Amino acid sequence: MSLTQLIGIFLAAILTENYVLCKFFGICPFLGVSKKLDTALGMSAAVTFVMVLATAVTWPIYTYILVPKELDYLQTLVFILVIAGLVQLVEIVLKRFIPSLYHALGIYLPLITTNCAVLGVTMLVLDKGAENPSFGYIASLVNALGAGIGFLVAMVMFAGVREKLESCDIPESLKGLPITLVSASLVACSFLGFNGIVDRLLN
Amino acid sequence: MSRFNIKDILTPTAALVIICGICTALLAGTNELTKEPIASAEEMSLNRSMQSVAADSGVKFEKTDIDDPAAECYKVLDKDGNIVSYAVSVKTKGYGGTIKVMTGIDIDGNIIGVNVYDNSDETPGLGAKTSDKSFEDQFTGKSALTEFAVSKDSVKYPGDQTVDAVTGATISSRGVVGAVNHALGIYKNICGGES
Amino acid sequence: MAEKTPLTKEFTKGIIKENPVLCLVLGTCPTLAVTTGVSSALGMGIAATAVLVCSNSVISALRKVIPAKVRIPAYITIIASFVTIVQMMIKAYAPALNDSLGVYLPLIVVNCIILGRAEMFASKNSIAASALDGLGMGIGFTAALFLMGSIREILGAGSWFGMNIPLLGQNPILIFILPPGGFFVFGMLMAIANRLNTNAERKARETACAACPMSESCNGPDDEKECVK
Repeated sequence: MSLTQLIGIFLAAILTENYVLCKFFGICPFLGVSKKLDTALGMSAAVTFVMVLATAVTWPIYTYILVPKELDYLQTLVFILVIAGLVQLVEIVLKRFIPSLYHALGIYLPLITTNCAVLGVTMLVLDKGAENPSFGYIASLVNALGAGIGFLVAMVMFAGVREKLESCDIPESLKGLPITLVSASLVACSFLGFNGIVDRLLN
Repeated sequence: MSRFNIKDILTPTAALVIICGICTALLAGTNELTKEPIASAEEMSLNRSMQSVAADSGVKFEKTDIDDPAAECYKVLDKDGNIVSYAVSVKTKGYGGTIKVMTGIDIDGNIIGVNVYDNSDETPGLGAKTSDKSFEDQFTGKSALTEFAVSKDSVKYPGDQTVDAVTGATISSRGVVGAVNHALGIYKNICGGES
Repeated sequence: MAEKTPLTKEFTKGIIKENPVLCLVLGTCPTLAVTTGVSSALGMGIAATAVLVCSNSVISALRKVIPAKVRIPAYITIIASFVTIVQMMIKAYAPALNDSLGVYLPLIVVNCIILGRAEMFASKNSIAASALDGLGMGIGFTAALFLMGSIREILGAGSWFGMNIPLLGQNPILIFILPPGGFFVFGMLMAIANRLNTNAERKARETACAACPMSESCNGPDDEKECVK
């Protein structure tokens, strides 16, 4: 895997394969905590951190334990338990050793276990690896990092859009989630424009 | 502050271990039961695809070893064991993920047919339309000795070997055409060398 | 929910009054992701319903055995097992559906509807009531997906269950099956649902919390930091 390919994977994960706006992963936190910029940042940082950590742990488990022993049907079960355990562990470690970071991220951590973006990324990188053998451990980690940053980009952008929404005159039945979803649709439209951009940039 | 109560730790742990054990056993059982049907379902989809692009007299498929991780080559044999055509399956990158394309080539070097048998990662209505008959049939009957090119906006370039891209799905269309060209290369190198 | 309600009510409430998608806003990821076509939407709905009924029954049966401290991991284990079983069945007997649902099939595990019902309902009610609650919620989920899938496939692909629709079939409005269309149709459907029960809107927000797995550590819908929605 050359550096260019890794950069390609990273950029593709942010722009063309954006987990929130193109693949619909992690919609609940996307709609829930994107109201304010600082909460959006905190949540995305926590998600990115757990995504990379979870991929770092589940990839070797799957490749070196489950597949050789033909236990790959346990993938879903093992992965969700590993993620749940990791989240708990991170919470305890942060609380004990880096309290300041814990106060910044801590409240979002319990929500991450049920964030499908985390489970999604650990499974999707393995799918990619199965189809393309050169897509190894490093590429998977880069992809996970890109997915997290993509989540962050979507959240931060959307937080900006929502702040504008606050001061708008909205029809009664569209107030709240409906108008949020319609604006999400427009933001997703803008991401359609990235189609093919990464392939062209690097080739 | 009370010390750790052994019972408080052991009971939940034991309960969790037992639940995990039972669940794993259940899954292992289901896996045993569904292993056969899953394997045969996967084989069926490959076979059906090969059948659709094989010469009419072909009844048997025989895999040829080629040194190419992205492709598989099959010889199509008639009932007497003579090679009547080749079927080459190629995995390629589409827009959303992998596209699998089966290309059937007869021994005279003509394309019998192209079958896009897995494009489930492509956008429905756009890239997924590459498995429509109208797209696949553009290859049928053309020569397998020259490579294909994609023409956009229905502007035909000179020559016969151009394929109209699916509207709005240039990347997927290019992927399929690339896979067909890859298959033609394999036909020329390996399968072609034997006949 | 402690007072005795007739079992039929447990069944019907999930379909309209507490529809998990349109009223409680749960399980949004699959609602948006697999509704590009009616058949995959229906497949996802049925798969999730099967998991929901099974996990609700088993969790309800074990509700007195599972220690409170480890109940969430225990629920997740049980749900993940049923999801895997359903996944293997689909792979074996409906491989086309497996292809079209892809990674969203195992992701049923983290569908908040399922863990939410386990925590809020199955852990407190009898097996029969929990199974019916699961079935009702599942049917409500399936109905919402079916509606979304129909709208998006008819407008965006000009077909329904793959059958071409005259006129629209030639020039479909592609954007409806692309991601933006998903958000848009979902937003519009919710607006209609809001319109239909404007006065119940406040209540809907409260019940949304009741089904939320995080409600224990949360101070209600106005607590921005904790609320998942």
